[in-house]
Amino acid sequence: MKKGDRRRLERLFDGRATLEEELALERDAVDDGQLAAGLARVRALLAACEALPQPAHERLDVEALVAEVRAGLEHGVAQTNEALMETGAVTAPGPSAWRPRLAWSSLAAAFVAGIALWALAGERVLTERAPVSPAVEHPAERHVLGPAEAVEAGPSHEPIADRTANAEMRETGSTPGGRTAWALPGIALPSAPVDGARREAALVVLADVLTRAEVLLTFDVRAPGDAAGFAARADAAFVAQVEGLWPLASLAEALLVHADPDVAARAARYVAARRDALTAGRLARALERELATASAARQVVRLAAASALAELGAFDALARSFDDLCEAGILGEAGALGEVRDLEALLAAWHAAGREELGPELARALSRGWRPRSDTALVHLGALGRPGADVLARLALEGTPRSPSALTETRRGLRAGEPSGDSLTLLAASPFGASAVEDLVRAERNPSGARLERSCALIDATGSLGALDWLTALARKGETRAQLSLARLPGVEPVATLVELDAEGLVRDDRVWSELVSVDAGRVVDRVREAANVAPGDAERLVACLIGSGGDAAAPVLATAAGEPRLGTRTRERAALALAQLAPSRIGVTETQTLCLELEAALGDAWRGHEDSLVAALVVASDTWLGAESLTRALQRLGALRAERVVRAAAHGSGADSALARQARVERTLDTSRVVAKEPSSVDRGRRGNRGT
Amino acid sequence: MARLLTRMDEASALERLVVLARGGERAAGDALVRAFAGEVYGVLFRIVGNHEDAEDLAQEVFVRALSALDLYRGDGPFGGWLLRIAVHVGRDHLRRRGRAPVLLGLTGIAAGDGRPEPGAALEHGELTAHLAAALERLPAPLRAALALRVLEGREYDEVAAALGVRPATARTQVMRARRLLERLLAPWLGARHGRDTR
Repeated sequence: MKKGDRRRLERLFDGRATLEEELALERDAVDDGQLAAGLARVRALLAACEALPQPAHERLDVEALVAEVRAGLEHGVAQTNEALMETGAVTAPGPSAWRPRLAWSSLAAAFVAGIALWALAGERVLTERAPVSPAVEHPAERHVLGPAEAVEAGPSHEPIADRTANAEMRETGSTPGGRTAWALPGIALPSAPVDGARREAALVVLADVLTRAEVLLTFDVRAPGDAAGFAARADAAFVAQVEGLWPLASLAEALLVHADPDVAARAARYVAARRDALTAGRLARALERELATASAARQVVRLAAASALAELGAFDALARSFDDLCEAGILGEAGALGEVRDLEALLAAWHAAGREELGPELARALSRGWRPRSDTALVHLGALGRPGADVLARLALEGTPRSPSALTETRRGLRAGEPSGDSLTLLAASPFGASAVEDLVRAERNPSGARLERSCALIDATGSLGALDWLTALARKGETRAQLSLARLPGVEPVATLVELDAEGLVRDDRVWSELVSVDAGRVVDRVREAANVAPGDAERLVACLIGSGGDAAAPVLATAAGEPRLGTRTRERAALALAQLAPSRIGVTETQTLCLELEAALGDAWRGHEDSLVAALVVASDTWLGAESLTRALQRLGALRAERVVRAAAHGSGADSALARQARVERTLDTSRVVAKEPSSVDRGRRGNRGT
Repeated sequence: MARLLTRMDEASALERLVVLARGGERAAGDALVRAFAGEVYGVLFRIVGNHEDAEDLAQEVFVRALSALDLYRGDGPFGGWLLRIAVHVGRDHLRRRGRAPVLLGLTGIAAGDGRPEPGAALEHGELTAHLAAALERLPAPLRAALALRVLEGREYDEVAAALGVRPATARTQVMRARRLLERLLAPWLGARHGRDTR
């Protein structure tokens, strides 16, 4: 068989041959016996392969396989990776991803078990401890009795467990009274009754006891953070180990300055847990001492002391230390020590104590440097009421809450608290102030009273247009506060909304209109021009609302309306007359100049028209705003007859307004215009004469 | 799993499952088992030739794979990586079994003079039975290559990846497997169709 034919057969066998190739093979096989035989063998082989039993997928129980695989993994059936290495599936030896976890878990479990057993060594004492005095049963008492029979009053002169008794305890595992006790490893009590040594030994015992108590409490799922439980365990363990009457609180206070910060922190916790009358003082003194040290390691103690004071509700003492705490970094850099949880506990305690009057101090301290690293801190801040909300507002201003959950907590806290005006201002300037406000107000579905006031104040502070719908809904219910906030929102949309509400008879308080122009008259001008083009009726209604209730701030709007040719003559006339009653001195220079330009233009346009009453109204307004000289020049341009007609119209009024003040100006203008009509050349003289009179 | 794959691109879905399983997510590991159970079982069946062994070995394959997920470098499809483990497990199984004759319906194969006519053998399915026996005698790499290419119909790239060899090598292994089979089955193939089986 040719080499090429063998290749063709191979291609046929492994499926690479195309149909054409196969047909070609058949054709060639007709004349080539060997090729024909080879072709027959390949086909027979392929047919046999096809006839081989097929995988019984239907018999494969996939779920059972899943269960078996899981069981295999759990029972460590997994083989080493040598096999995988052989396959080349992996290139480097490495541990199983699952088995190391199992190994670590086992190691951790063993460690935990060891710790628990070690701690239980002390715990056994609790179950079979020596009888204690009532002081032990009542931790408020500061002295704790040991198993010795004698009860002495002095705090540090009592004999500590003598060498024999303690040796017996360690060696036999029983107390002198026959009760079993577990010896404390590594604690060598002094053999001689030396006061200093005994005290040191007692301190060592107490430090160890506190450690045991804390460990046991850590593993106590029933009361993992139970301060009273912690103190009780410590008391009992101490009593079982040391004879005599000992001032445990005093000892613990001494431990507050222990070289090991962890021991000192436990001591602070213990002192706080005992809650006697002197506890806060001790802690405060310890805190002051700690604050005097510059060691970063002592921050653990400072934090523990501060936290304990907070737990005790000793906020006055704590507040006195706030500046020092901040300087020491307790509130400023607590996160750097990974002690956020303790600080959160402090916040929680603060909240629980309801000492809101100290909130500003806390807010000041917190906003000075501390940055919450977890949402829990934000939750506590939110629960602090106004102080917490103030802090949150400050944090929001600084952009501290970044994650969605943190922002949510911040908003929630702001909703729950009632931020002060300053904080609202801060909040308004914060990156998410507007959205926070929208969120805040939307939560108030049907607010009233103070809640409505607060929500509206928030909107006022942020000028959040996202709250427009919410405000509109409330304004439609006739809520004046909401209408006022609506008037303060930026843009022309709130203006249009208020006009709509007025058309429905819902705006009853004139303050709304004065607020509308006081905040920003420019947008109202814009709205007048905009509406004059598409909805003159709305513009005229808006002008009508501002006449008489807009105040001086409405002057630019009235001037615009007076000169707006797309508005009705009647509206323009009324606007001009209302403008005439306002005082230019109460309006800014820039505004006045702008207004005068508009008025001059309006007057010039009006001359060309035939509405004498409108011209008359503009003349009256011009008299107020442009001065006599400009008015005289304008009247001179009218000619005598027209000027007289206009002045007469002004004198009689159009019925639009008849205020006394306007009437007086009209009278004066009439006098002037008479001069104009009779002696056009002596206008100036006449006016001077009038003014002189 | 199927629903998951219809929702997401299959590759990315598998990738995510692998990541999750690597992170210790049991459900993801289970999902991977479900996704590849049939494929792995099929390959193993082709290699070891019987359902029970294939099923047991599939379990072993998945346990090994999930135990060593951290070692999956992600530079190829996860299925290919899994297939590689399956091939190895199958080959290892064959080695352990010592190429003992498998049953696979071989009862009666040895009957007669041992040289039946190929046509008759085909008619009676005897060639198939002898083929199965011959497959058992093939070197494991050749058998795996043959199973993946000829029986499973996989592309040479895939076969090569599963075998840990180059595609050209895989082709050579398939060729050698065919020639060996022809030699082993010569009594049934060569009587009528000549003996050019080199």
